[in-house]
Order: sequence, then structure tokens, then C-alpha cells
Amino acid sequence: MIRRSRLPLRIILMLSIAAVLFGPPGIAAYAQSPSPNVEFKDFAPGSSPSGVNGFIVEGLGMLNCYYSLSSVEQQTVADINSGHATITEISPQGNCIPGGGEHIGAYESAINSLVSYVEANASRASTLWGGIMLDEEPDFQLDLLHVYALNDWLYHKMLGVPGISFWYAEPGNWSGGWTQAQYAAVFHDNGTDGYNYSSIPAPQIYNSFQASEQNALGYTNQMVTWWGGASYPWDGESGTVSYASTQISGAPYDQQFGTNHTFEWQNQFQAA
Amino acid sequence: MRSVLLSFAAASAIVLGATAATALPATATVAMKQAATTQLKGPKPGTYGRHAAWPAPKAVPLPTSGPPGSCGPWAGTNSTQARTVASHGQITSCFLVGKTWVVTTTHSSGPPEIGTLYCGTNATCLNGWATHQLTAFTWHIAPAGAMLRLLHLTGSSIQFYDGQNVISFNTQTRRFAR
Repeated sequence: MIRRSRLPLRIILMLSIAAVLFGPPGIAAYAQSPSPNVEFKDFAPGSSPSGVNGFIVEGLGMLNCYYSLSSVEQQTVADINSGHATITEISPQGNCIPGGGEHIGAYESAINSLVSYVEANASRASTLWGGIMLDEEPDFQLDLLHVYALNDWLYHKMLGVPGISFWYAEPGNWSGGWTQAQYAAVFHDNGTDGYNYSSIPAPQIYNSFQASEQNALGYTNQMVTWWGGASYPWDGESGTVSYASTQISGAPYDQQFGTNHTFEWQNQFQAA
Repeated sequence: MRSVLLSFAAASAIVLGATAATALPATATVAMKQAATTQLKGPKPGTYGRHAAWPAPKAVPLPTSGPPGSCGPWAGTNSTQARTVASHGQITSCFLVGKTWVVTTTHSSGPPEIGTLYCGTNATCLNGWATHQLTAFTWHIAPAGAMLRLLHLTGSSIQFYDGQNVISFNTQTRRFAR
């Protein structure tokens, strides 16, 4: 008799838990909330068109590859000094390093130079320079220990830079590349392996595999990186809301860059 | 209402670039915000780790538009056309280089491929969200590798990683080169 009377209570309790976990149908979703209302866009050094919310200076691999360090430094300062939210992106690759992928100190030297140059020449860097974005991918000729070591070094480096300037992890993975755990550790390392760092996540979301992998990490704040060259529907955008952002959990990267606006960012990769 | 708010926000954002140099330092509100943001270094506390569960995905309408140079449903991974040309592999990217559409594919085994379609001055063809026939594309098999991940565009030359090396493809000569 007592057990019978408890049954409805159990059902109610289970439904309550389910409601908390899953929410009412049609409201909660794997979608960035609020929706992004501004976006960064990539441009190569030498290019900074008007009408862009925020610039990402696309330095690619630097060192021995494509663009020179000085051109990346100068464009970063120019974008900041023109009053724009600015991030400097580097794609560390083993084949860009003089001497090969074991020598990540070359990237540390380049970043030291970049930070010094920006701090010396951009008076508003503390509020307009988001800092450095690293695009790290499984086939970039750096083994994971070097990826983690560089991230750990950059994290501690940027902690010492004034203002909002920090670092963004923009990895791209694919089935057969890194494992889920390896991918997770590119963003954040908990110190058990000697490295201890965290990033502002800016994951590449170009397909359902990447979306699923990212959602499994459970970030509550992240800047979705999407690409108009991805295969449909991942290349779509309505206003400032990319399709990719509608498939990723949590809130967008929320950074006002010293203003009293309410900026919710996404990042549109463009080949540059 | 939501679209109005978004439009307002987007318009406001552009002001950041246009007038920030003179307008931003003037108000106390800005100063307070700056003080707040300087303390915000990286992710907010508590934003790491897994949640107990994320809610089930909501059905989101498929996009009906994209940025210039992007491709519509005809280039979708699961489109009927994609299945029609399955012999060329699964579509991984689609973009415009000059006046040429470029589609990259991967195979479960064997090297990836590039499909090209030159549009010339045909405006309908240059509209990526108008339907294109993948059977009209010319296909080029990469000499090696397992994928073609776009790195860099320089004029008609496209640089890719093929999984091991940098490889380029020229949309005018339609040839690969290392």
C-alpha cells in the first residue's frame, strides 16, 4: 500500500529530473545561445577592408612559410590602431620551422617578438587585441607533445600580457586524426601530464563530425569558427548566425573589447 | 523583434571599427567595462568539463544562403547529386576561385579528387546557391594523399595539405604541382 502511494511520486520525480536535464521540447537545443551578433573574419597581411566587425590577421605558418613575421606584426598593429577588435592567428607547422618540428622554440621567439611589437606600437592593445589564435591540426607535422608544450607556454605567456589579450585554440580535427581525448587536450590540459593550461575555445566546425566532437566537450562559452567553403549546410549563414553556430552548445564568445556593446562573437574562416 | 535587435547589434558592432578611436574612451560606462574586461583573462570560471547532459538538438532550418563563393544544397554531403557522383568520393568542400567552382572530395581509399566548373561571365553559374550539375564538373585525381585541406589561395593557385605534404592545384591549367 505504501509502495503504491509512492509510485506516482517517483514518476513525478523522474519527470522533473528529465525536465531539468532535457528541457521542454523545442526550447533547449544544441545551438549557441544567444545567437552570435558579430563575427571575426580572416584577412591576409596587407588587407583590412571596411565593414568588418573584427579582424583576424591570418599569419598562417609564419617562420619559413608564406607571410613574414614583420608583416603579421604590422597588420596586427594597423588593425588595432584603426579601432578594430583584432586577433592574430598562427598555424604552427613542422615544415615551417627552420630545422623541423622539434624546434618549437622558433614559434616562441616569433610570438615574443609579436607581443613586444604590439604592446609597443598599439596603445589600445589592452582592450582591442584579443591576442593570439593557434590553428593546430593533426597533419601539421607537430607531434602532440609539442602542440601541448607550445600551448602551455603560450598560456603562461599571455597571462602576463596586459588587458584582455589571451590565446584562442582553433583546432581542426577529423575522423582518424586525433582521438577525442587528444582533441580535448588541445584546448585544455589539467596538469596531470605536467602541462596546465586553458584557452578560449574557437573550434573549427565544418561538418557534423567536428560539431559532435566539440559538443562532447561541453563548453559553456566558445567562439564557433565556420567556413563558407565547407560542404553544405555547414557553409550557410543567415544574417550573422552561421549554420554551424546553430549546431554547437553553449554561449558565443562574449567579449566587449572595451566597449559597452553586447558582442557575441563567431569567427568566419576565409582562405587568405 | 529578434531580427531588429540583431540588426541593431550588427550595426553597432561596425561602429567599433569606424569611430571607436575617438568615441570609446569618453564615457564612464566604457571605463567600467574596461575595468571589468581587464580582469577577464580567458574562459570564465566553471566553463570547463562536461555537463551532466546537453539538451536534445532542436531541429534548425537548413540555411538558404551563405557568403559569396559558398555552395548550396547541390554540394551537400548527402545530396542526391553527391550520391550520383559517389564514384568521385564524398564532398568535403566547395568554393569559388576566380570564376571557377572547385569541389574537393575524399575517398575511403585512394587519393582525393578535385572537380572544377568554369563559369566565365554566366551569372547563374557564378551563384553558388543556384543548382549546379555535378556531372558537368571536370574531375582531377590528386597524385597522392588522403585529403585536400585548403590552406591558401593565391590567384588561380590553391594550396592544400594532402595529409602529408603541401600540394597546389591551378584552376587555369587544371594541374596539380608539389
